[in-house]
Amino acid sequence: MADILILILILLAAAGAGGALTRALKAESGNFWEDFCVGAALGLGILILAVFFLGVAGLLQRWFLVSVLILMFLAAPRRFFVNAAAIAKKTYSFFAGADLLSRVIAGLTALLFLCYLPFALTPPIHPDALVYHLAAPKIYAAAGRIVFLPDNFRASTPSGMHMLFTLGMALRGPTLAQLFHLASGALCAIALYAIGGRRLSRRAGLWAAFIFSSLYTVTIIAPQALTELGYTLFALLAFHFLFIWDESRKPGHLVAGAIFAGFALTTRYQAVVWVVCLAGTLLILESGRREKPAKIAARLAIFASIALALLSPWLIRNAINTGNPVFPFLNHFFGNRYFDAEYGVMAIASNLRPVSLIGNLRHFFLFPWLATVRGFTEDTGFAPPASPVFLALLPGLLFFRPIPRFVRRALFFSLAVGVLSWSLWLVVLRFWLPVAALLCLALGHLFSAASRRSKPVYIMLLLFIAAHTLFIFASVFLGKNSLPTQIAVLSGRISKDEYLATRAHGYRVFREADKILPPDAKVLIGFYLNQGYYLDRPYLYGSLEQGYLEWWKLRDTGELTGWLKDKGVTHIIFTSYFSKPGACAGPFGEKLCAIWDEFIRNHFRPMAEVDGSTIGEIVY
Amino acid sequence: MEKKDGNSLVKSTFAVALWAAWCILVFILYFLQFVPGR
Repeated sequence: MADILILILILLAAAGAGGALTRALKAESGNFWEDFCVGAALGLGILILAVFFLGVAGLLQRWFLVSVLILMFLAAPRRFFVNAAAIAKKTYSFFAGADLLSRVIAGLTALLFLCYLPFALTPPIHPDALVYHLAAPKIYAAAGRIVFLPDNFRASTPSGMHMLFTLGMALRGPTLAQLFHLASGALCAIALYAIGGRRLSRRAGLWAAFIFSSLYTVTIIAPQALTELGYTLFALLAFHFLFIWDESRKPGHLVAGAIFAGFALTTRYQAVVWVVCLAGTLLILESGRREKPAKIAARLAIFASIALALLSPWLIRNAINTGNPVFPFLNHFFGNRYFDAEYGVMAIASNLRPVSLIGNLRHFFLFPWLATVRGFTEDTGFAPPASPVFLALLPGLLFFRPIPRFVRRALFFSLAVGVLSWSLWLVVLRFWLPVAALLCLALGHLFSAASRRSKPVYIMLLLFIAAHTLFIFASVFLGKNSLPTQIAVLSGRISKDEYLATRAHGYRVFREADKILPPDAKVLIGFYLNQGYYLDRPYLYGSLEQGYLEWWKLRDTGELTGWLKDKGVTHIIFTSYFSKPGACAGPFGEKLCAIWDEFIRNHFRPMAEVDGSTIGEIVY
Repeated sequence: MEKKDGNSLVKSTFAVALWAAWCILVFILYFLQFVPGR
């Protein structure tokens, strides 16, 4: 409960400070929910930058972080209380005054987030969080500074959400970090409600918020410490402000759009696709107004420079640490101090299914199907079948022409982002989730138009969404991350150790290592164990798929022990299978396997074996 | 079906029925993704 209370206080402080900035930019709309959401998102963005700068300065202590929050509160103390009162008042008046269906839709949306809440309160289990989204912030919070983790290259990607997670880890722990992501999801829903209400109708906005909140992808990722919903929030608001600028021509709106584009870029590299499409849209909109080329160029330059300026701290950090500002990408272009150029890139790309344009034309036409219905891997935690609503329902827009300009723009923009993402191999919907948010607005319009113009179609839509909602609630209650299990963990009926032993890969072996290893041990986490979050000793990732330890270049056992000694590694934890002579020949190849086998024979002393993983000491 | 909007394809009951069938098909295919053992 304390975590939830702290989150609410932080969000109110952020919304206050962000609201003051929105006002300074003259970008306020006058609509409470829109202004609150924009203010909160801006405030979170400011917090991201503040934590980053404190982190690189080595000031990640609790009191510095609290001071930042107090400063944000002091930036607009009145707004803090006004927003708090207005949220309660507006929510009450909505439920007291709105029609029954609106109340049901809003109530179901709130209920969904309530159902996601217990998952956010249980210990983290998402593999990506355990590899880097939380593993890196845990190290930063413990060290009191942002440190470069050459072995964990994913931690070096722009990581705005990591800064919020770091704040959460430093103030309270992983729960607060996970709540930041859940809160970003709730803000996305509010943003969709506000944008839909402003552009289409209040009912359309409500439907959009509900459908987005009930996407299967969202049900899985919202309560976990991932980056997608922060990315979606910032990207959606950037899109929103770009089109407001087109109508209002107030510079503040263009600047606000650019700021959100910049914050979107800080959340993940893939946001580049979104921002490039935004810049392209700006170019098209300005050209359509027959503006002078110099003016168009100036506006584009303003937009791009603000967005890049907000991303630049991460680029500079990477340039200093590795020599490559966009590490771990484009290593072959910029060079790299830590990674073999080709190998570093391969490690990233190997996460994705290689569904490239060339040679895979069949996949091109199946892309909407693969991205939304089929999914890309069997692992529902990584690229689940996102949702059937888009593919099934969007064709219905054809029945309600003319399609409003805003919806047409959202659809064309989604298409542009989708095609560009696809051609860059970013095939998983999670990587371009803001598109789903835009498509939800289009669906919101469909529901709203059908309710006014065709009863049979409306009934059909309601039946479909009712079936979908039932399915979603069933998956929340009965799925892998089932709500009763989360509640059982929270109430203590299932112990956290028991829960994590089944859900977090390597949990028990790491717990054992914490018990038996000396306090000054430094561990290499080896093959098929790559989620270091639950290990409380300093560690390096040594899996084959990353290039810090360049396994493939090793010529003899001496080079391996030399590398390990050089890095101060004293112990190794790896999948026991690889301790059998010759067992590693498959994944390693004969030559490397011989080196490894010799290392195990002559330089390794096993200490314990847990769940098929071996802990042991290196004998130099 | 209302006829105010001349553009509206809703005039065609057949098209709506086809779309409804499409919706059901997509939903079933999606749902089958989650059936264990597939």
